[in-house]
Amino acid sequence: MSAQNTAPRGAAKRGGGYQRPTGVGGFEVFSWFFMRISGLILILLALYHLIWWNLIVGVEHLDSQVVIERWTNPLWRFFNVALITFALLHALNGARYSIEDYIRSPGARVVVKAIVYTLVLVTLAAGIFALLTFDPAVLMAGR
Amino acid sequence: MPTVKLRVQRFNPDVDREPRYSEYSVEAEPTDRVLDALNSIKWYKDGTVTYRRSCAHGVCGSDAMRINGVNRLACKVLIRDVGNEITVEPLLGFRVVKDLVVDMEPFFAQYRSVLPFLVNEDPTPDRERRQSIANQERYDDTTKCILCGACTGACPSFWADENFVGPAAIVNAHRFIFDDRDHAAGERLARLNAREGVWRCRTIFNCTEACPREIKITQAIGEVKRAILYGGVTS
Repeated sequence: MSAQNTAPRGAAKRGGGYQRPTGVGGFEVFSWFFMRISGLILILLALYHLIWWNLIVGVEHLDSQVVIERWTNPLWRFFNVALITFALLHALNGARYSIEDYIRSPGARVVVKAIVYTLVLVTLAAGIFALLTFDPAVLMAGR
Repeated sequence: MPTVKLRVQRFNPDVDREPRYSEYSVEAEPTDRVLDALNSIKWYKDGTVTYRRSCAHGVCGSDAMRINGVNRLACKVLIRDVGNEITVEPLLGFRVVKDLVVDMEPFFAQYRSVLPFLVNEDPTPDRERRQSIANQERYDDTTKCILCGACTGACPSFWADENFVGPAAIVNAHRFIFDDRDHAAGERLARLNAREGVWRCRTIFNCTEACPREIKITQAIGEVKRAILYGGVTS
């Protein structure tokens, strides 16, 4: 390959393949990769969540006492922060795909995106805040 | 000879505001093709029915249309495979020029944007540019594309956004990106990494189902996505 053609063209490698061209990367690649990774993680987290609460603990034994016991374990709080973060960000990115696919007017797209982003991010912040600051004593005092 | 009923979507831009349907009954053998039935209409019943066809043998790709709701080549589909009541409509997602003829120019503009030709500025060798069988197999599937537009016309992402590069253009980019004799993979990947490039693909698989050449289109698009992500392919 002649020298003047090295940029921005990815250099071909003999025997197949090429080098990553300059300028390739960016948000859309990241978002596509994030959807696949977060989807896989969510399968594991959501399955564990479902199996634990519905089969191991059992819905009939589910009360505030169980929640309080679980909450005292920092791992459980970390688990739930991960679950709500991945679930909401995965859903938000999916909603972004749909908005970009089906809302053609640039103005309407900005408005709908702003509303959806705000709703999801406020929900996420509220969820994480509750998980980290929940105080069992308040709950017990209210009984 | 059995009678086949055809319901053909019509649109004459000089007269019609909206598409309408005309119904015809023609005699056709079960082993005739839908194109034969359309030809019977055009040649013996109604010469105004308009559609594209050229080679009539599944090679030129000019008679892709919706047959009973599915994108097919009229010259490859037998009457016995679609029944005796057949609805024929133009491809979705394209502007209808007349009846079954759609404006393919946006499709070919997207095709041209991915540099669908070999780029190699090395000195021209005395003989051909040799390639191993294994390296050729890497992109063999995507060489089969005949640019009929059945895939792009079946793609919901394309219906929603006509600026989406579309499966056919990605297939033809794949054909050269994974060709080790080619030197412009980076330019093609940069084009496909744009906002209207491969990332608009939602992995719906309509293109793969629609392809009359049975190209594994969704897989090819996935390979292009991974090539952008990882920045490297091996043959």
